[in-house]
Amino acid sequence: MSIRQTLKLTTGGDLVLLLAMVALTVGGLWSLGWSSPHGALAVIEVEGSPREHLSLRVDRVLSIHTERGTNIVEIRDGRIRMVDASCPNRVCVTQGWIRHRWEEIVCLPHRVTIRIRGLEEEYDAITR
Amino acid sequence: MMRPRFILFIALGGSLLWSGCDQGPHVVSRTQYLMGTLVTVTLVAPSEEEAAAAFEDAFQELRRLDQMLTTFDSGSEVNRVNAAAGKRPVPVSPELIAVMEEALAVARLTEGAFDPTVGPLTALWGFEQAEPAVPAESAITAARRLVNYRDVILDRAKGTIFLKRAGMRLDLGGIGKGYAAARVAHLLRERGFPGGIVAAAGDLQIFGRKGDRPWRIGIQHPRDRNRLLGSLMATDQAISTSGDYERYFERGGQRYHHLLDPKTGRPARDCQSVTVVTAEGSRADALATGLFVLGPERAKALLRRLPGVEAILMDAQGKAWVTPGLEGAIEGFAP
Repeated sequence: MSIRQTLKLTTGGDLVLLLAMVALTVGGLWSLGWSSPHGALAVIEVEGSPREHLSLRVDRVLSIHTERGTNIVEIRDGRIRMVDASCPNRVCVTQGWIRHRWEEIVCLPHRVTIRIRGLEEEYDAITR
Repeated sequence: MMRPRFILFIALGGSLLWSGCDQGPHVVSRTQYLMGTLVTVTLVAPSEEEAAAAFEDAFQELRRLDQMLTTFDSGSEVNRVNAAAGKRPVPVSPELIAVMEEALAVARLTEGAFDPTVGPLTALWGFEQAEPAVPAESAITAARRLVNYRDVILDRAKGTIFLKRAGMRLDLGGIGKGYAAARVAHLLRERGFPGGIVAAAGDLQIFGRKGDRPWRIGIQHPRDRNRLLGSLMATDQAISTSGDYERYFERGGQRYHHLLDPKTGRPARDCQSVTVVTAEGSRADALATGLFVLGPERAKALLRRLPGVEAILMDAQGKAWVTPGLEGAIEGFAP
Protein backbone atom coordinates (compact mmCIF):
# COMPACT_ATOMS: atom_id res chain seq x y z
CA MET A 1 0.00 0.00 0.00
CA SER A 2 1.36 3.38 -0.97
CA ILE A 3 1.73 6.35 1.36
CA ARG A 4 -0.96 8.14 -0.62
CA GLN A 5 -3.42 5.33 0.01
CA THR A 6 -2.52 5.28 3.71
CA LEU A 7 -3.07 9.00 3.98
CA LYS A 8 -6.42 8.70 2.23
CA LEU A 9 -7.53 6.13 4.78
CA THR A 10 -6.23 8.13 7.78
CA THR A 11 -9.20 9.42 9.76
CA GLY A 12 -9.56 12.48 11.93
CA GLY A 13 -9.25 10.17 14.95
CA ASP A 14 -5.84 9.00 13.80
CA LEU A 15 -4.69 12.61 13.51
CA VAL A 16 -6.01 13.45 16.98
CA LEU A 17 -4.18 10.43 18.34
CA LEU A 18 -0.97 11.43 16.55
CA LEU A 19 -1.15 15.02 17.82
CA ALA A 20 -1.87 13.82 21.36
CA MET A 21 1.16 11.53 21.31
CA VAL A 22 3.45 14.26 19.97
CA ALA A 23 2.12 16.72 22.58
CA LEU A 24 2.68 14.21 25.39
CA THR A 25 6.22 13.48 24.24
CA VAL A 26 7.20 17.15 23.89
CA GLY A 27 5.50 18.04 27.19
CA GLY A 28 7.27 15.23 28.99
CA LEU A 29 10.67 16.26 27.69
CA TRP A 30 9.93 19.90 28.53
CA SER A 31 9.10 19.06 32.11
CA LEU A 32 12.28 17.01 32.42
CA GLY A 33 14.41 20.00 31.58
CA TRP A 34 15.14 19.76 27.87
CA SER A 35 13.55 23.15 27.39
CA SER A 36 16.38 24.91 29.14
CA PRO A 37 19.96 25.26 27.97
CA HIS A 38 20.80 25.22 31.66
CA GLY A 39 20.36 22.43 34.16
CA ALA A 40 17.02 22.25 35.87
CA LEU A 41 18.31 20.53 38.98
CA ALA A 42 21.12 21.03 41.46
CA VAL A 43 22.47 18.02 43.32
CA ILE A 44 24.31 18.63 46.56
CA GLU A 45 26.67 15.80 47.40
CA VAL A 46 28.45 15.15 50.68
CA GLU A 47 31.42 12.76 50.51
CA GLY A 48 30.34 11.87 46.96
CA SER A 49 26.80 10.79 47.98
CA PRO A 50 23.74 12.85 47.04
CA ARG A 51 22.26 14.73 50.03
CA GLU A 52 19.78 17.11 48.32
CA HIS A 53 18.13 17.36 44.91
CA LEU A 54 16.95 20.94 44.42
CA SER A 55 15.01 22.52 41.58
CA LEU A 56 16.70 25.67 40.29
CA ARG A 57 13.22 27.09 39.65
CA VAL A 58 12.52 27.51 43.37
CA ASP A 59 14.46 30.30 45.08
CA ARG A 60 15.67 29.31 48.54
CA VAL A 61 18.52 29.34 51.03
CA LEU A 62 19.50 26.24 52.95
CA SER A 63 22.25 25.00 55.26
CA ILE A 64 24.23 21.86 54.63
CA HIS A 65 25.61 20.50 57.88
CA THR A 66 28.39 17.91 57.72
CA GLU A 67 30.75 16.54 60.34
CA ARG A 68 33.41 18.87 58.90
CA GLY A 69 31.38 22.09 59.02
CA THR A 70 28.48 24.03 57.55
CA ASN A 71 27.86 25.38 54.05
CA ILE A 72 25.07 27.81 53.18
CA VAL A 73 23.63 27.35 49.69
CA GLU A 74 21.44 29.87 47.85
CA ILE A 75 19.26 29.36 44.77
CA ARG A 76 18.02 32.47 42.97
CA ASP A 77 16.89 33.16 39.38
CA GLY A 78 17.81 29.68 38.17
CA ARG A 79 21.32 29.81 39.58
CA ILE A 80 22.98 28.38 42.66
CA ARG A 81 25.95 29.45 44.77
CA MET A 82 27.69 28.78 48.03
CA VAL A 83 26.82 31.93 49.92
CA ASP A 84 28.81 31.11 53.04
CA ALA A 85 30.93 28.32 54.48
CA SER A 86 32.77 27.68 57.71
CA CYS A 87 35.70 26.17 55.78
CA PRO A 88 39.11 27.85 56.10
CA ASN A 89 39.80 28.90 52.51
CA ARG A 90 36.25 29.71 51.29
CA VAL A 91 37.27 29.00 47.69
CA CYS A 92 33.76 27.59 47.22
CA VAL A 93 32.21 30.95 48.20
CA THR A 94 34.46 33.00 45.91
CA GLN A 95 33.41 30.82 42.97
CA GLY A 96 30.04 32.59 42.77
CA TRP A 97 26.97 31.44 40.83
CA ILE A 98 26.72 28.41 38.57
CA ARG A 99 23.89 27.39 36.25
CA HIS A 100 25.26 25.26 33.40
CA ARG A 101 25.04 21.50 33.47
CA TRP A 102 28.80 20.98 33.42
CA GLU A 103 29.57 23.41 36.23
CA GLU A 104 30.28 22.41 39.80
CA ILE A 105 31.24 24.04 43.06
CA VAL A 106 33.54 22.02 45.30
CA CYS A 107 34.22 22.69 48.96
CA LEU A 108 37.19 20.36 49.40
CA PRO A 109 37.64 20.96 53.15
CA HIS A 110 34.02 19.96 53.85
CA ARG A 111 33.76 17.47 50.97
CA VAL A 112 30.60 19.17 49.71
CA THR A 113 29.91 19.40 45.97
CA ILE A 114 27.17 21.20 44.07
CA ARG A 115 26.54 19.85 40.58
CA ILE A 116 23.98 20.86 38.00
CA ARG A 117 22.07 18.10 36.32
CA GLY A 118 19.81 17.89 33.29
CA LEU A 119 18.16 15.02 31.49
CA GLU A 120 21.15 14.46 29.25
CA GLU A 121 24.64 15.57 30.08
CA GLU A 122 26.31 17.73 27.45
CA TYR A 123 29.80 16.71 28.54
CA ASP A 124 31.05 13.39 29.88
CA ALA A 125 33.81 14.99 31.94
CA ILE A 126 35.48 18.37 32.44
CA THR A 127 39.22 18.91 32.68
CA ARG A 128 39.87 21.80 35.06
CA MET B 1 -6.93 -7.63 5.74
CA MET B 2 -5.70 -5.47 8.58
CA ARG B 3 -7.22 -2.02 8.38
CA PRO B 4 -4.79 0.74 7.45
CA ARG B 5 -5.64 2.91 10.44
CA PHE B 6 -4.51 0.08 12.71
CA ILE B 7 -1.28 -0.21 10.76
CA LEU B 8 -0.73 3.51 11.23
CA PHE B 9 -1.57 3.21 14.92
CA ILE B 10 0.81 0.29 15.44
CA ALA B 11 3.58 2.02 13.50
CA LEU B 12 3.20 5.19 15.59
CA GLY B 13 3.05 3.33 18.87
CA GLY B 14 6.01 1.21 17.91
CA SER B 15 8.12 4.19 16.92
CA LEU B 16 7.32 5.96 20.19
CA LEU B 17 8.18 2.83 22.17
CA TRP B 18 11.40 2.49 20.20
CA SER B 19 12.40 6.08 20.88
CA GLY B 20 11.65 5.52 24.56
CA CYS B 21 13.89 2.48 24.74
CA ASP B 22 16.72 3.86 22.68
CA GLN B 23 18.50 5.60 25.55
CA GLY B 24 22.01 4.91 24.27
CA PRO B 25 24.63 3.07 26.29
CA HIS B 26 24.14 2.47 30.01
CA VAL B 27 26.53 4.94 31.65
CA VAL B 28 27.07 5.09 35.41
CA SER B 29 29.30 7.27 37.61
CA ARG B 30 30.53 7.30 41.20
CA THR B 31 32.49 10.00 43.02
CA GLN B 32 34.67 9.83 46.13
CA TYR B 33 37.06 12.17 47.90
CA LEU B 34 40.48 10.63 47.46
CA MET B 35 44.04 11.87 46.90
CA GLY B 36 42.99 15.23 48.33
CA THR B 37 40.43 15.81 45.59
CA LEU B 38 37.26 14.55 43.92
CA VAL B 39 37.69 11.39 41.90
CA THR B 40 34.87 10.37 39.56
CA VAL B 41 34.78 7.03 37.78
CA THR B 42 32.39 6.77 34.81
CA LEU B 43 31.68 3.45 33.11
CA VAL B 44 29.72 2.02 30.23
CA ALA B 45 28.34 -1.05 31.96
CA PRO B 46 25.81 -3.77 31.11
CA SER B 47 24.22 -3.57 34.55
CA GLU B 48 24.28 -1.62 37.83
CA GLU B 49 25.54 -4.71 39.68
CA GLU B 50 28.58 -5.18 37.46
CA ALA B 51 29.35 -1.48 37.67
CA ALA B 52 29.00 -1.46 41.47
CA ALA B 53 31.58 -4.23 41.89
CA ALA B 54 33.95 -2.45 39.50
CA PHE B 55 33.53 0.89 41.31
CA GLU B 56 34.42 -0.79 44.58
CA ASP B 57 37.62 -2.22 43.10
CA ALA B 58 38.47 1.06 41.36
CA PHE B 59 38.22 3.11 44.56
CA GLN B 60 40.09 0.42 46.48
CA GLU B 61 42.92 0.69 43.96
CA LEU B 62 42.88 4.49 44.23
CA ARG B 63 43.16 4.26 48.02
CA ARG B 64 46.13 1.90 47.64
CA LEU B 65 47.87 4.31 45.27
CA ASP B 66 47.10 7.27 47.54
CA GLN B 67 48.71 5.43 50.45
CA MET B 68 51.80 4.84 48.34
CA LEU B 69 52.14 8.34 46.87
CA THR B 70 50.82 10.71 49.52
CA THR B 71 53.01 13.07 51.54
CA PHE B 72 50.26 13.52 54.14
CA ASP B 73 50.87 10.13 55.77
CA SER B 74 54.25 9.53 57.41
CA GLY B 75 53.98 5.80 56.66
CA SER B 76 53.60 6.19 52.87
CA GLU B 77 56.33 4.83 50.63
CA VAL B 78 57.13 8.33 49.40
CA ASN B 79 57.48 9.65 52.94
CA ARG B 80 59.75 6.76 53.92
CA VAL B 81 62.06 7.86 51.10
CA ASN B 82 61.77 11.47 52.34
CA ALA B 83 62.57 10.50 55.94
CA ALA B 84 65.84 8.89 54.79
CA ALA B 85 66.96 11.86 52.64
CA GLY B 86 70.72 12.38 52.95
CA LYS B 87 71.04 9.16 54.96
CA ARG B 88 70.41 6.03 52.94
CA PRO B 89 68.66 4.48 49.92
CA VAL B 90 65.19 3.13 50.71
CA PRO B 91 63.80 -0.10 49.19
CA VAL B 92 60.48 0.64 47.48
CA SER B 93 57.93 -1.19 45.30
CA PRO B 94 58.66 -1.67 41.59
CA GLU B 95 55.57 0.44 40.98
CA LEU B 96 57.01 3.48 42.79
CA ILE B 97 60.27 3.00 40.85
CA ALA B 98 58.24 3.10 37.62
CA VAL B 99 56.35 6.26 38.66
CA MET B 100 59.65 7.91 39.63
CA GLU B 101 61.25 6.94 36.33
CA GLU B 102 58.42 8.67 34.49
CA ALA B 103 58.65 11.68 36.82
CA LEU B 104 62.39 12.00 36.20
CA ALA B 105 61.89 11.58 32.44
CA VAL B 106 59.48 14.56 32.40
CA ALA B 107 61.81 16.51 34.71
CA ARG B 108 64.60 16.04 32.15
CA LEU B 109 62.31 16.96 29.23
CA THR B 110 61.17 20.15 30.95
CA GLU B 111 64.64 20.92 32.34
CA GLY B 112 63.30 20.85 35.88
CA ALA B 113 60.17 22.94 35.31
CA PHE B 114 58.37 19.82 36.49
CA ASP B 115 60.42 18.46 39.39
CA PRO B 116 59.34 15.58 41.68
CA THR B 117 61.66 16.93 44.41
CA VAL B 118 59.63 20.16 44.73
CA GLY B 119 58.49 18.91 48.19
CA PRO B 120 60.41 21.46 50.36
CA LEU B 121 58.71 24.30 48.43
CA THR B 122 55.18 22.86 48.51
CA ALA B 123 55.58 22.12 52.23
CA LEU B 124 56.78 25.69 52.83
CA TRP B 125 53.91 27.33 50.94
CA GLY B 126 51.38 24.97 52.55
CA PHE B 127 48.55 25.31 50.04
CA GLU B 128 46.79 22.48 51.85
CA GLN B 129 46.98 24.27 55.20
CA ALA B 130 44.00 26.01 56.78
CA GLU B 131 45.67 29.44 56.53
CA PRO B 132 48.45 29.49 53.98
CA ALA B 133 50.79 32.51 53.97
CA VAL B 134 53.48 33.92 51.70
CA PRO B 135 56.78 32.58 53.10
CA ALA B 136 59.78 34.81 53.87
CA GLU B 137 62.23 35.25 50.98
CA SER B 138 65.03 33.61 53.00
CA ALA B 139 62.86 30.55 53.62
CA ILE B 140 61.99 30.33 49.90
CA THR B 141 65.69 30.50 48.99
CA ALA B 142 66.59 27.79 51.50
CA ALA B 143 63.80 25.48 50.26
CA ARG B 144 64.61 26.17 46.61
CA ARG B 145 68.19 24.94 47.13
CA LEU B 146 66.85 21.56 48.22
CA VAL B 147 64.95 21.06 44.96
CA ASN B 148 66.86 19.22 42.23
CA TYR B 149 65.72 16.09 40.43
CA ARG B 150 69.33 15.29 39.53
CA ASP B 151 69.94 14.49 43.20
CA VAL B 152 67.56 11.53 43.09
CA ILE B 153 69.45 8.23 42.83
CA LEU B 154 67.17 5.59 41.44
CA ASP B 155 68.60 2.04 41.51
CA ARG B 156 66.31 -0.18 39.49
CA ALA B 157 68.36 -3.35 40.10
CA LYS B 158 68.28 -2.94 43.86
CA GLY B 159 64.80 -1.38 43.84
CA THR B 160 65.83 1.64 45.91
CA ILE B 161 65.40 5.40 45.83
CA PHE B 162 67.90 7.72 47.51
CA LEU B 163 67.61 11.47 47.97
CA LYS B 164 71.20 12.67 48.16
CA ARG B 165 70.78 15.63 50.51
CA ALA B 166 69.15 15.90 53.93
CA GLY B 167 65.97 17.96 53.79
CA MET B 168 65.06 16.91 50.24
CA ARG B 169 61.43 15.81 49.82
CA LEU B 170 59.64 14.05 47.00
CA ASP B 171 56.21 15.46 46.18
CA LEU B 172 54.42 13.48 43.47
CA GLY B 173 51.35 15.74 43.50
CA GLY B 174 52.15 16.75 39.91
CA ILE B 175 52.07 13.20 38.54
CA GLY B 176 50.29 10.96 41.06
CA LYS B 177 46.69 11.71 40.05
CA GLY B 178 47.44 11.19 36.37
CA TYR B 179 49.21 7.93 37.15
CA ALA B 180 46.36 6.74 39.37
CA ALA B 181 43.73 7.62 36.74
CA ALA B 182 45.66 5.68 34.08
CA ARG B 183 46.19 2.70 36.36
CA VAL B 184 42.50 2.43 37.30
CA ALA B 185 41.37 2.93 33.69
CA HIS B 186 43.69 0.07 32.70
CA LEU B 187 42.14 -2.20 35.36
CA LEU B 188 38.60 -1.38 34.23
CA ARG B 189 39.43 -2.03 30.61
CA GLU B 190 40.99 -5.37 31.58
CA ARG B 191 37.73 -6.29 33.31
CA GLY B 192 36.04 -5.98 29.94
CA PHE B 193 34.24 -2.65 30.20
CA PRO B 194 33.96 -1.15 26.71
CA GLY B 195 34.49 2.45 27.82
CA GLY B 196 34.97 4.74 30.73
CA ILE B 197 36.61 7.80 32.25
CA VAL B 198 38.64 8.03 35.43
CA ALA B 199 38.75 11.69 36.46
CA ALA B 200 40.99 12.70 39.37
CA ALA B 201 40.06 16.40 39.48
CA GLY B 202 41.43 17.78 36.18
CA ASP B 203 43.38 14.64 35.30
CA LEU B 204 41.37 12.35 33.05
CA GLN B 205 42.18 8.96 31.61
CA ILE B 206 39.66 8.03 28.95
CA PHE B 207 39.28 4.57 27.46
CA GLY B 208 37.03 3.10 24.81
CA ARG B 209 33.87 4.84 23.66
CA LYS B 210 30.50 5.91 24.96
CA GLY B 211 28.52 3.43 22.91
CA ASP B 212 28.90 4.40 19.27
CA ARG B 213 30.60 7.74 19.84
CA PRO B 214 33.72 9.12 21.53
CA TRP B 215 33.49 10.82 24.93
CA ARG B 216 32.91 14.56 24.95
CA ILE B 217 35.33 16.36 27.27
CA GLY B 218 34.83 20.01 28.26
CA ILE B 219 37.84 22.21 29.04
CA GLN B 220 37.41 24.79 31.80
CA HIS B 221 38.02 28.42 30.84
CA PRO B 222 40.79 29.70 33.17
CA ARG B 223 39.27 33.14 33.79
CA ASP B 224 35.53 32.59 33.51
CA ARG B 225 34.18 29.88 35.78
CA ASN B 226 30.88 29.87 33.91
CA ARG B 227 32.45 29.19 30.54
CA LEU B 228 34.29 26.43 28.74
CA LEU B 229 37.30 26.99 26.53
CA GLY B 230 35.75 24.40 24.23
CA SER B 231 35.41 20.65 24.08
CA LEU B 232 37.23 17.66 22.62
CA MET B 233 36.02 14.28 21.47
CA ALA B 234 38.29 11.63 23.00
CA THR B 235 38.60 7.85 23.02
CA ASP B 236 41.84 6.32 24.30
CA GLN B 237 43.60 9.37 25.66
CA ALA B 238 44.67 11.12 28.81
CA ILE B 239 43.75 14.78 29.25
CA SER B 240 45.21 16.89 32.06
CA THR B 241 44.88 20.56 32.84
CA SER B 242 47.07 22.68 35.09
CA GLY B 243 45.59 26.07 35.91
CA ASP B 244 46.29 28.91 38.29
CA TYR B 245 42.62 28.99 39.37
CA GLU B 246 42.21 25.65 41.13
CA ARG B 247 44.27 25.87 44.32
CA TYR B 248 45.27 29.28 45.46
CA PHE B 249 45.02 31.88 48.17
CA GLU B 250 44.99 35.66 48.02
CA ARG B 251 47.07 38.05 50.13
CA GLY B 252 47.36 41.79 49.56
CA GLY B 253 45.38 41.62 46.33
CA GLN B 254 47.80 39.09 44.83
CA ARG B 255 46.85 35.53 43.89
CA TYR B 256 49.27 32.79 44.94
CA HIS B 257 48.53 29.49 43.23
CA HIS B 258 49.97 26.03 43.79
CA LEU B 259 52.01 25.61 40.56
CA LEU B 260 55.42 26.57 41.87
CA ASP B 261 58.42 27.27 39.67
CA PRO B 262 61.33 25.31 41.21
CA LYS B 263 63.74 27.94 39.84
CA THR B 264 62.14 30.90 41.67
CA GLY B 265 60.37 29.07 44.47
CA ARG B 266 57.23 31.09 43.67
CA PRO B 267 54.04 30.51 41.67
CA ALA B 268 54.79 30.46 37.93
CA ARG B 269 53.29 33.56 36.29
CA ASP B 270 53.48 33.13 32.53
CA CYS B 271 50.40 30.94 31.92
CA GLN B 272 46.78 30.85 33.01
CA SER B 273 46.26 27.23 32.03
CA VAL B 274 47.79 24.37 30.07
CA THR B 275 45.82 21.34 28.85
CA VAL B 276 47.77 18.32 27.61
CA VAL B 277 46.35 15.48 25.51
CA THR B 278 48.46 12.33 25.17
CA ALA B 279 48.22 8.56 25.64
CA GLU B 280 49.24 8.10 29.29
CA GLY B 281 47.83 9.84 32.34
CA SER B 282 51.09 10.22 34.24
CA ARG B 283 52.77 11.93 31.31
CA ALA B 284 49.77 14.19 30.64
CA ASP B 285 49.67 15.23 34.32
CA ALA B 286 53.40 15.90 34.72
CA LEU B 287 53.71 17.63 31.35
CA ALA B 288 50.75 19.93 32.08
CA THR B 289 52.56 21.11 35.22
CA GLY B 290 55.94 21.33 33.49
CA LEU B 291 54.65 23.23 30.45
CA PHE B 292 52.72 25.63 32.68
CA VAL B 293 55.89 26.43 34.64
CA LEU B 294 58.01 26.71 31.47
CA GLY B 295 55.77 29.47 30.15
CA PRO B 296 54.32 29.72 26.64
CA GLU B 297 57.46 30.27 24.56
CA ARG B 298 59.58 27.47 26.01
CA ALA B 299 56.50 25.22 26.20
CA LYS B 300 55.82 25.73 22.47
CA ALA B 301 59.44 24.93 21.63
CA LEU B 302 59.28 21.71 23.66
CA LEU B 303 55.90 20.68 22.20
CA ARG B 304 57.25 21.05 18.66
CA ARG B 305 59.72 18.24 19.33
CA LEU B 306 57.40 15.96 21.36
CA PRO B 307 55.53 13.51 19.13
CA GLY B 308 52.14 12.27 20.32
CA VAL B 309 51.55 15.21 22.66
CA GLU B 310 48.93 17.86 21.92
CA ALA B 311 48.29 20.89 24.06
CA ILE B 312 46.27 24.07 24.57
CA LEU B 313 48.18 26.94 26.21
CA MET B 314 46.59 30.07 27.64
CA ASP B 315 49.24 32.64 28.36
CA ALA B 316 49.16 35.26 31.12
CA GLN B 317 47.36 37.72 28.81
CA GLY B 318 44.68 35.13 27.97
CA LYS B 319 45.99 34.48 24.47
CA ALA B 320 45.46 30.90 23.34
CA TRP B 321 47.77 28.68 21.35
CA VAL B 322 47.09 25.10 20.26
CA THR B 323 49.37 22.45 18.79
CA PRO B 324 48.75 21.76 15.06
CA GLY B 325 47.22 18.35 15.88
CA LEU B 326 44.38 20.02 17.82
CA GLU B 327 43.64 22.79 15.34
CA GLY B 328 40.03 22.43 14.27
CA ALA B 329 39.46 19.62 16.78
CA ILE B 330 38.23 21.82 19.62
CA GLU B 331 34.47 22.31 19.38
CA GLY B 332 33.17 25.75 20.29
CA PHE B 333 36.69 27.03 20.87
CA ALA B 334 36.27 30.39 22.62
CA PRO B 335 39.41 31.54 24.41
